[in-house]
Amino acid sequence: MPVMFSYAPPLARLIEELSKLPSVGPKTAQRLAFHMLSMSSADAEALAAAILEAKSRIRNCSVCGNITETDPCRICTSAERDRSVVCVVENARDVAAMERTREFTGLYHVLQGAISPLDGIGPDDLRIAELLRRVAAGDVREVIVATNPRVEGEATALYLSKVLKPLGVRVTRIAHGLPVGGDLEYADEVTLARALEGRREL
Amino acid sequence: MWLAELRLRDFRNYATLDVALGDGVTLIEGPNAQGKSNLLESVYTVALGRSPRVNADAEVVRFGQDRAYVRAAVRGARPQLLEIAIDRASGEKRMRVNGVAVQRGQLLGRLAVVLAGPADDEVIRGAPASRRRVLDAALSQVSPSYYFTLTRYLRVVRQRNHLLRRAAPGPALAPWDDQLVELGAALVERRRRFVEALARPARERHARISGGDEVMDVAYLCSAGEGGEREAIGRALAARRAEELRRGASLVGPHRDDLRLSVNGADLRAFGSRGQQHTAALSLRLAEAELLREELGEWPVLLLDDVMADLDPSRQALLLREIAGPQVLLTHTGRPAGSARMRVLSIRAGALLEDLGARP
Ligand SMILES: Nc1ncnc2c1ncn2[C@@H]1O[C@H](COP(=O)(O)OP(=O)(O)OP(=O)(O)O)[C@@H](O)[C@H]1O
Ligand SMILES: [Mg+2]
Ligand SMILES: [Zn+2]
Repeated sequence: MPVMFSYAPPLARLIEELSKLPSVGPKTAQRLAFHMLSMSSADAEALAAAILEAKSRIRNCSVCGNITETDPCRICTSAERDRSVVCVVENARDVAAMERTREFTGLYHVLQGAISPLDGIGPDDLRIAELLRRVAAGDVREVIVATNPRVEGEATALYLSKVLKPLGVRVTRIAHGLPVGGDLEYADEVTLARALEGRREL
Repeated sequence: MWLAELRLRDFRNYATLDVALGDGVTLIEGPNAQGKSNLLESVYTVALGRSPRVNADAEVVRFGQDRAYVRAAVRGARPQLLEIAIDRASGEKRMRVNGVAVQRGQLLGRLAVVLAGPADDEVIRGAPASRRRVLDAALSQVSPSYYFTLTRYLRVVRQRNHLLRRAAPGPALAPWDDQLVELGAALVERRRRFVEALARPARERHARISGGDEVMDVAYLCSAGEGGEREAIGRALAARRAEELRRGASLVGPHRDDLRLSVNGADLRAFGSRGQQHTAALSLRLAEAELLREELGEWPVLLLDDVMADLDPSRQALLLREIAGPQVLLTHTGRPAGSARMRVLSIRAGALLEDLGARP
């Protein structure tokens, strides 16, 4: 039996922490850790500080659920935005994708996920109650459901339409010019803008 | 379309193989257990992004090796280079088209293939799943949208079954019911059209190979019953809700459908003779190839594994006449009558005889 080689504990711990990150396997974690060791102390401190600062200053907007430095967020408090239209998305990255199109001037609502029984995520695990409260409060005339075109996003859209309709609000779904099975995040801006234009009643 | 060059690295019993192929019929000859079927399997694998044997992807890696690799140079209307690498440990598959990494859905249809062989026994005699696989593999090669709909549909069924097992209430099931109906209806409709088109060429082929009076028929059996697809599936879902909850499984939809194969009105599964079943399976595959040609505008590659073995010499000769047209890779333990003018590849222990320095 070969003797098991092990790294010095501080390095092993860094590798372990890095390998907890999404899409980082053990090999990548090792490479990143060695890269970090070769960084100057100033660079390493800047990286650590950036992580801590982002973590302490960024939180979720109590109205829309998007990530923000101020609560409510800049979009929710903007006088420029159309308060009668709310675009529902799965996560904060989708807000960024939608904002890049510059086509949408309404408000957002971030669900923080999609319905997926296999992952143990039901309607109650999403920010749906918050959405219903926002709509019931009055100003909203149209809810555009822009959840991902995967079957989980589609199920979420169908569920939302059932619970929103009784509130007398118009519910639409963005058209799927999107790559099937794809994420909003990866859809290019032109497709997204077109999807927004061609939305259909739900 | 046809396969002009094939390269194997550590695939089954092949350490390395590089072979150029012609666009006609190639006989792949050799004694038992030399690698004839493995060669056809490699072509299927690089064309469809997985082995024709279910759940066997990691098994194709040569014993003692880490990774199998297949490369296929395709000629025809759209010449292209397809590659697949399969990692034994992780079971991970990487596919590329002209050097660009792709998902399975983007690979399908670039090298359309129809495989006929011993596994078709399952198609005739086995569970409905093996007959559905015939339809799904063919239609996925014809239409990327079929494949995507199928992938989505199967995901919906898994999500829905999870809820059924937990006795979820109606409102929780509703979004999945809706999608099951929508996607399921699209699949059933497409399969029905395919089977309707399949019936005539299958019957003709079967009549010719069997030399006369047998009438073969192919029909689609829908678990939701007859009628417009959406309505039928929707109605059946409502009717069987209680049973679905009790059994914790989705019981209606294309994942429960079947294909009925019969000769002279009798179900082949129950009543066919060995020879009838064999000829029917072959006719079905040849009809499938004909249909793929109509849909794609080009012949698929025919992979015929051991199909001569059970035929008497006169049926062998009839079969050889049936397969004029597409590129055919035909395995056999010897040289069947009528093979004199074929290109012959002799396989011995995972190598070409000519590469071993011998004369065939
Ligand atoms: N992963 C693998 N690595 C190495 N050898 C393998 C692997 N899988 C199968 N084999 C070998 O391949 C051989 C079978 O090859 P194949 O099925 O292609 O034979 P064949 O030439 O078609 O024979 P037959 O005429 O009996 O059908 C067997 O000897 C088997 O041990
Ligand atoms: Mg064989
Ligand atoms: Zn906000």
